[in-house]
Amino acid sequence: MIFLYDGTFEGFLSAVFDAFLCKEKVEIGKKCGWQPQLFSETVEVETVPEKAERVADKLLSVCGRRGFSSIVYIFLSEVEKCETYDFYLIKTLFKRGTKAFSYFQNEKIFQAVNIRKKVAREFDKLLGLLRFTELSSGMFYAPFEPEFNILPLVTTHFYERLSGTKWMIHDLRRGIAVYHAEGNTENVEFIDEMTSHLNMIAVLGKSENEEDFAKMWKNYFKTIAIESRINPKLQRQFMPQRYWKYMTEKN
Amino acid sequence: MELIEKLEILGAAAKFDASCSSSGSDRRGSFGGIGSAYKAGICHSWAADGRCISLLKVLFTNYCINDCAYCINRRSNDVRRAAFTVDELVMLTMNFYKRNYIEGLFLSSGIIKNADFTMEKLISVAKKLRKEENFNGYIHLKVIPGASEILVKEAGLYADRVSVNIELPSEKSLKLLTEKSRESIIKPMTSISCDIIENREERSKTKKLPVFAPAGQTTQLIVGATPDNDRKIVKLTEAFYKKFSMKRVYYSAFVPVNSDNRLPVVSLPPLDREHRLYQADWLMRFYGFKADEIVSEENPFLSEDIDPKAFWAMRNMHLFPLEINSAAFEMILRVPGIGRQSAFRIVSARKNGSLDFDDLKRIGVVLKRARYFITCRGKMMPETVVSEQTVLEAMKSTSTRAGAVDHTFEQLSLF
Repeated sequence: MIFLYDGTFEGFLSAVFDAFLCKEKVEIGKKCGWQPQLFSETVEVETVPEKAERVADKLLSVCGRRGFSSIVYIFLSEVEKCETYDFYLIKTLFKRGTKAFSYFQNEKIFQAVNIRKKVAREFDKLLGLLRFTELSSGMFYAPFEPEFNILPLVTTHFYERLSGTKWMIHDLRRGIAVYHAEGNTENVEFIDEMTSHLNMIAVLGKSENEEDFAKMWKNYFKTIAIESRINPKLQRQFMPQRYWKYMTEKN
Repeated sequence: MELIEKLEILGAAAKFDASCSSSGSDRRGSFGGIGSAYKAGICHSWAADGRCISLLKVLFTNYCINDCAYCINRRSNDVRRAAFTVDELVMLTMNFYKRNYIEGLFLSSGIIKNADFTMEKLISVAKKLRKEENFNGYIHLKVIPGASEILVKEAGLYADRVSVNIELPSEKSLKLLTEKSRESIIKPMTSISCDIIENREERSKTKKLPVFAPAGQTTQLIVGATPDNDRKIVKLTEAFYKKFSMKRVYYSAFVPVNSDNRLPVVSLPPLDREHRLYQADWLMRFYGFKADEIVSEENPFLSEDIDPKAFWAMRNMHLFPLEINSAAFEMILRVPGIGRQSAFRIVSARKNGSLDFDDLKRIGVVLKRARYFITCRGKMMPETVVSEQTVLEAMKSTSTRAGAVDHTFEQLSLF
């Protein structure tokens, strides 16, 4: 049976709730963009906060905050079938406890855990590789194009770290951003797909000192390498080229 | 002098320091402040040599009263010299940090006037960052050999991590190449380690006390500038971990920057040797190995062709093969091709049912290496022939350093 939800995390948890007792093979997918399949029954799931909360509470009591974050990571991956794998992981967690995270013998669990690992890896990398540019308004602006939808995770990190500044992190791949000022965050959606980071910076203008600091950083970046150890292969291994586009020192 | 020029000189002057880690501290961000520490550390970039850039690693100044043979900043060298002011460094750190270029500051210095005068400068940068700028990012302060105990104590109050460089593996080497005494280095190390223990104990009673160097202390030494063998280095490292509860010992392949008849003549830094030492270091910290198991008195150098873990396994074939489904965790850790993470996964996955070779592959075990040392459900992996030659071949082919081939290629293309 196929359970279609509205695309929100709450909707997904509602789908998990509804699908939980289903005896057939379960698939969970987003309503929008779902390709109808032959011979399979489809239900549209209604998003019910109480249902979502019950699943979330149970998850927290079974596997704690760390375990719960794994479920969120898999959901945020947005890769094909991620909700279905996530569902089976949740089901196995309820049955076996946290042991389920290392149930590598099971194909679906293995896929789920693998997705989690990939998301965690990109999240960890981008925590370091994200670059902010100071704009003339005093806001720090960071554009990026993550493979997975890690903006919510990145936001939590910088919420604590840069609590004393105004900043915006902009996911250009998905046209979404988060704006922060004085302890409050706000989600921003860009309707205009033409909004590029260069346009943003050009329109809003860089701060007076921005170029100086960027120049100093670039220069420092060059200086710090030891000539007799130059090893571009090693550099690319740690810092994949797909992330270079928005990095000050690589432009 | 322009700030950009100072940064260039004092960044270049600090680049031979191997440590750049920003791990071990979980200092929280404060509301309205800037910065927080991340327990696992964060790398912010990788330089062209493939080394990570996590902290803004600079010297306060590269003027120095010492004349150590291997050091680019030694008094007798004719190099461009510069010194930051406290305010410049604070401003630079804050601005780099806000742009997420860096995880914090790693501050060291050449010695001006005397050890205490220099140490005071370093402390005042850290103090200003913490007290005036409300900075909660990572700070690593180098302790100047010979600095007084009170200053070492103060450094630990503002820094997440402190370190004193042992520089060279033996007292004899130190005497030959530097003007530092072994005692001036060991003394602050000892006092840091006592302060850390004392602080942990007192803080377990009352949390209100400020934390002293939450990310502990580290040290580093130069490899290949003196005739000291690997056994000497590995044993020394073990002692540091045991006696001073150091977080890390760093090795820095000797890069010839000065011509000095006390130094060996080499064209390239001994990177493969450095790599093997790091592997040995990992074996001691995470794999339960003792120094004596890694390098013996008879063979005091690590093998160039084979990594130390495989080398140990090959000399202890009588302990293998291990049955993956029942072997103890400590032994699984010792199988070549099984890393720490895989070992953890194996023991927890076993609780869900027995494992076969496909499962191991999924878990991330490198079967190309591990197959000679393990069985699953009583059987070895099909088509595994265990002989001295097959095992040796498999271990050799998978023991190289990333980019090592690149290097020989580059070297050839020079001619």
